[in-house]
Amino acid sequence: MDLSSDLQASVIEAAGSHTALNIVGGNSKSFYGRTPTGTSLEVSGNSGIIDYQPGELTLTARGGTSLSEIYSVLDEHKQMLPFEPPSFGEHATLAGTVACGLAGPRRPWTGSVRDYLLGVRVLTGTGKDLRIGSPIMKNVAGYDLFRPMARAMGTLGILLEVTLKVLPSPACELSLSMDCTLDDATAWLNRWQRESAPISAACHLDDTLYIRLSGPEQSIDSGSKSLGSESNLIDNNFWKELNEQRLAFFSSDAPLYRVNVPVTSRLPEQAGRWLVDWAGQQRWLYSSMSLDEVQLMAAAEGGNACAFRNGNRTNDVFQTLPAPLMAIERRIKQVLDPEHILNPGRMYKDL
Amino acid sequence: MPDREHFINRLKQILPADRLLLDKDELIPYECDGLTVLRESPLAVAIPDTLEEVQAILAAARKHAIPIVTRGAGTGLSGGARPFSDALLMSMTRFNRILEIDEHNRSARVEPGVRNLAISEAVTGLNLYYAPDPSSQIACTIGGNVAENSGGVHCLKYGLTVHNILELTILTMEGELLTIGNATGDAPGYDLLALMTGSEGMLGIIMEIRVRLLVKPPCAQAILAAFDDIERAGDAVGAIISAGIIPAGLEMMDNPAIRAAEDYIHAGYPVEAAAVLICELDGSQSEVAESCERVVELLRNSGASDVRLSRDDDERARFWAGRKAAFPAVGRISPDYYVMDGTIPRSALGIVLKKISAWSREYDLRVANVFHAGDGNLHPLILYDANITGETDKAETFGKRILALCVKMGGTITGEHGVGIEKLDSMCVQFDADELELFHAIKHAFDPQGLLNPGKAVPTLHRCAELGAMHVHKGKLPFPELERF
Repeated sequence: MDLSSDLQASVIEAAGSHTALNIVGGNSKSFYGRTPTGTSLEVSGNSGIIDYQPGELTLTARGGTSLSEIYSVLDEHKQMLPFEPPSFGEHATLAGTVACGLAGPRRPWTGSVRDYLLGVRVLTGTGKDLRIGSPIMKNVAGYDLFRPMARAMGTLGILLEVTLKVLPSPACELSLSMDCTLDDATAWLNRWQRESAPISAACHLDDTLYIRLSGPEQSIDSGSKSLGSESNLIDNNFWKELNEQRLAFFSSDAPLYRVNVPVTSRLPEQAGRWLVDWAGQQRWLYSSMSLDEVQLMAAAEGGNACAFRNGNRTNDVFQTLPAPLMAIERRIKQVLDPEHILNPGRMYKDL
Repeated sequence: MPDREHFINRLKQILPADRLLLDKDELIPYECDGLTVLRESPLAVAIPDTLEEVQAILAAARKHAIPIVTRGAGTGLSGGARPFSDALLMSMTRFNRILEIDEHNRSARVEPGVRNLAISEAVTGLNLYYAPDPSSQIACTIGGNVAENSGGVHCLKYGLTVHNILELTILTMEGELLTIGNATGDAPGYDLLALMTGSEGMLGIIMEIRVRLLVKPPCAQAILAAFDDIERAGDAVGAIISAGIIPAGLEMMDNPAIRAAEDYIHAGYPVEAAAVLICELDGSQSEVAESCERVVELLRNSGASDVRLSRDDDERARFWAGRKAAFPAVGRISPDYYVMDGTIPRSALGIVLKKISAWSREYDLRVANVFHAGDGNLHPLILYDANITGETDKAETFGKRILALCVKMGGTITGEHGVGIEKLDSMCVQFDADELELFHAIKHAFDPQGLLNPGKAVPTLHRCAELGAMHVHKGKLPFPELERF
């Protein structure tokens, strides 16, 4: 149902009365970011797929459309959301997925949410209904303000509609596990990727390397052969369990840190309990270290860290930005949401 | 003494004489970029060599309120680097060092004046390359690529510049040095990396770029297919993509483009065909073999009259040679040509080509079409003779109509060449007043004095209103108080 005019009216009213809004889609990721505050604005009713063109690889849907509805139409045409987003429950919406900007195990090989965002229809903090980007692959007219909507956590606008590029699902997928240290895993992954092995996921946990291969049947066959005889075949469902954080590793109420660093970064093993995903680019950590300490450790490697789940969520949870950069981000927020009513403080205290 | 003279005097203190061009004769080569019809002499040309020099130039420009136009190799096709008589042109070509190659993380940190192709050349020994390959890649600089979000024939599979860079170091107009993005590709905060990419030098000065490097595919093969009907060729593209195959490149040429290219290159193109498709597949040996077989079958089923599979890399290069030489080939059959750059949903190809050919008769100007068919990016080449009075204007009017049609079909006025100064009027067709105001506000957030490449990429609301082309949004005309005729 198209609820854009109702939502517009709510935003205009909130702007007039300086009422902070807590934008709620499927409420599946309320744990993420800083603690939500403000009056709840339900947006999940604004849902429905508007246009899906399998031959053009594009899909446009209203923000409140559930991921499950999107998957069911994509499945019919053997296509997928290339960034493999986590759902964290049954009710995840498209807009929430884009706003959080989270991607799954495939991310290092196929790209992130923003890489597949082609356009948005967005309500600004003054209730302006804007279309930025368009449902085509190549578009360099005007500033790219649609990609920044990904991972902005609703602080720059309410996503009424989202247009994404989709990709064909791989014809075949196969998952393997093998015993090895993290150092060996890093070296092997590097070598296999240099040999163009069809890897689409790679994670290391408890001295075991898990790999997924994707592609046409023949290349999966030859790929799995070249990966050695030491490997065991495992269920492809492993990656969903990892993505949805349902592996035993994640069964803790302690603060969970996400650390993004270059593949080759060596982070101290004794920092805590690690799960290394994305071939090394995304690492999950349970640690007694404070967020500041984890962020310092990541920054020293050219990366960043956030408190992904649990712990204190009243302070900033994402990596602190240098002051001149934060100043520009504040100005951008000011342009799109001058009354500061769209999820204020959800991403950073100042945004 | 007027501000300009103070400014020039200050530049003379910052730069040695050989890197500050002031004489009329020296300024001539800088009067335009790749869009040669629009020329203007800059106030002066500065060729800085160090970050400190750029910072000093910016400080002087701020103090004296002198605008700055930044330029790379000047190959852009929309006038993004076209100077103004009251602005300084700052050439970044001396920033041409590759600073770091990180083999294991597959990235390279480079200065903005490094040529696109030079990056791939520097890492070819490591079996790596930088994917975006605009046709000017021998000459164009990576800084310019970022400013324009350049594409190329391989962006269907490998993406545009925005998908292939990880980190930028920029100088804001206020002189602040900022790092945007990071080496991991997942940075905190807003995605300013995307916002900077394609911002046509209006938000900041790019000082360093960390690009993503890819492993060279072990195998590549090309297929050349001829069609008697151009719409069938368009349908074949849809059939390939719907079948789950993403080719590395998927290009189409219409009959006038085929003939011009064949006359010039002798690539063996079928000159009677209404259209040819060139489809390149890459990946592992087995993947390519499997995909080629399927694509050949799909092409035959889509009504291709002739399908050829490249037997070796030489033949593959020959298939591509005609397409890659399409622009100069057209240059041989017409004194002048005007390259358009609209993008449309592929399903609209038939309607758009029919309209273009009707307008071609109406304006009595020939058109050849080359098409990045996989991603819907159409390059109609309008043939004209600038020496015939009125033909240049006619070609421009024709071009604007094509772009308006692209917008009407759900597409955009520019797929990869940028807006620059060329497509300002067409921007009024694509965006409404609220959207244009937003763009101006974003520029103001980065550059409050409005000194970086002012007047490019985003038209003033006044210009659009005067043009009468302002998009009517939901039946409401913007600025109802303005009189319209």
